[in-house]
Amino acid sequence: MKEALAALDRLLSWLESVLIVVFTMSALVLGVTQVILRYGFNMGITWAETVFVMLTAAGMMIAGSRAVRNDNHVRVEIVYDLFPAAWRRGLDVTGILISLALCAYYAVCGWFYVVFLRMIEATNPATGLSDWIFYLLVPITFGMFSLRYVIRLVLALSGAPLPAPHHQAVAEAELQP
Amino acid sequence: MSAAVLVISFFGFLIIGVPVAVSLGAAAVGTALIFNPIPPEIIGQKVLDNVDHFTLMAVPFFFFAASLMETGGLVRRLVNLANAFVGHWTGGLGMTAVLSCMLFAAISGSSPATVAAVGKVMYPSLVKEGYSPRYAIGALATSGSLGILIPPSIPMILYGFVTETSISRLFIAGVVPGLVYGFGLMAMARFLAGRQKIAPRPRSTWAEKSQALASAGPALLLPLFIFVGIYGFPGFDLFGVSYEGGGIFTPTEAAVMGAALAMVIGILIYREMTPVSAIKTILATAPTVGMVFFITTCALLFAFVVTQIGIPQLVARTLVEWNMQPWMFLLLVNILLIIVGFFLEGTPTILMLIPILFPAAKQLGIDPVHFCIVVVVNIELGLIHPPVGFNLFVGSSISGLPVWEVFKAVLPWMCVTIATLLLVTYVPALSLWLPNLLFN
Repeated sequence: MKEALAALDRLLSWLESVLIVVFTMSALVLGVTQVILRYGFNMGITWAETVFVMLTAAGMMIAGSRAVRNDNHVRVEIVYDLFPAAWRRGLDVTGILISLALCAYYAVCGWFYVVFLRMIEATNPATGLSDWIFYLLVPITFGMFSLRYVIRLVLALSGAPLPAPHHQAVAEAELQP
Repeated sequence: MSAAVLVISFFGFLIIGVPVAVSLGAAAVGTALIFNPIPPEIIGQKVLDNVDHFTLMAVPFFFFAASLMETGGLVRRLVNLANAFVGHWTGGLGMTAVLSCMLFAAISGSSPATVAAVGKVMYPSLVKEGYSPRYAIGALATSGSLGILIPPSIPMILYGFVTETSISRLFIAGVVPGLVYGFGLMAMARFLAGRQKIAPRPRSTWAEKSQALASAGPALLLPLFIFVGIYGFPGFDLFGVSYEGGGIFTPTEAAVMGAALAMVIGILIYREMTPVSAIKTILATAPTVGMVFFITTCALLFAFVVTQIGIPQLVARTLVEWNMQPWMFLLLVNILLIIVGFFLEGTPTILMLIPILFPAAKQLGIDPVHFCIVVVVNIELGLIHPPVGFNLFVGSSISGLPVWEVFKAVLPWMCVTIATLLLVTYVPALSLWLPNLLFN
């Protein structure tokens, strides 16, 4: 079980890293190209702005899943910190269950919307691409969020240490690379 | 009834330590499912549509620009420049810390990023020069909050996004209050250093000053590029050559170009970064932006349910019925935001409360740009007081002091923040003079 979770964590981490870098760097290159073309040569790519937004949004939604792993998602800990350790473990499990339920619900709702878009055959006027391809991002990213929360749930239930509290994690993240 | 369920469930989730984004989303979805079910397809659409906006795309790229500046060695050169010019005054190194934060704030839109970037370079120097650790970390944690007042600013982008206010106007409105706050902190740096009887450093020679300026030149180009890019040059008509003036590109394009330029300067000019380390920097920064995006989508869903229930309309109507004066409303907003600052960080505060407060502010005739600056300075205050003051946590990581000690260190400096808050609240001209001048 432990090994399976570790393998899932590695797979998710690899997937997140690749997708974040590919989407973000593509958005950066496209954004810079569009600015140079527009202001330097008075021309532009008609679909550039739409695709730039799609790529950046995709990269950052996936980065949200990585933030679950790093425990970067901010939370209020004033009352939480007042509880004894055993209670805190219970609160952790409750919090993870609520987060898992919300992310799974978002993923299912996103899938319904994808099915709806496929049914009405909606296309993006700027790119000519079917809209459902972009909206597939919702079930995929929130599916990844959900898997991340499943890993955290198993860790919390098995008594394994969870990642550092978010403030510490954020402070450490700020002090990287 | 639905409003009560929404508020109680939100605070209930928050109190037991559920992430803020999930608390917002779960309270909104739960309330909607009980009282006014929204079709799942609409939820699925809204989750992505809430963040699928060109304006919002400035947020990740300003974050990346700041991180790349730090990795690429730009921050160190800005610190050296500030030191060359003000380092010889009484409290000169403390003033250098403030001035460096002001310079870094002109490219970074985030306060914790400013504290981290400048703090890593400045904290050891300050302590080595005989400043107490308390003085050093107090100066850095407080000055870092300038990151969100001096443009560009992530909270201003979010405010502009939620209220549909021009982000260019909001950015320029932060300049004068940012300078007032910055110079106030420099005065405090001098005053506190005088009390510690710290000897000033020797004055830099003109050769040293020009060397620091030449070395920091490319780094200084970055804020200049962003500023000129967004606001352009003033119009002119000389010898038959005319130029209309005005902005060259949008804040989002400025963010993208800023990130690209930071990468180019770090890799090609300063040679302190490689393409691989640049990608690693982006990968390390991305989860923080992912967190902001997740809060944004959940908070906007929350705001959607809040609007459906009619809470903003109720608040606006009640305030008008009470015949509330704008100054009283602003005072109440300040008190409310200070209280909220004890529980929530800036991003959820803006995304959750502004949709409720903004209609009331507008109804009372308060300028949206002025209101934004008041909100941003309140968020700055929230960044430097416990329990959720992010700058305190970053300061604690840099100095190794406990968070409570960092807070005590910040207290004298906080007087300047409170004075700035009162000034921007009751002297609207401070925020409005420059945007009105530039945008007629």
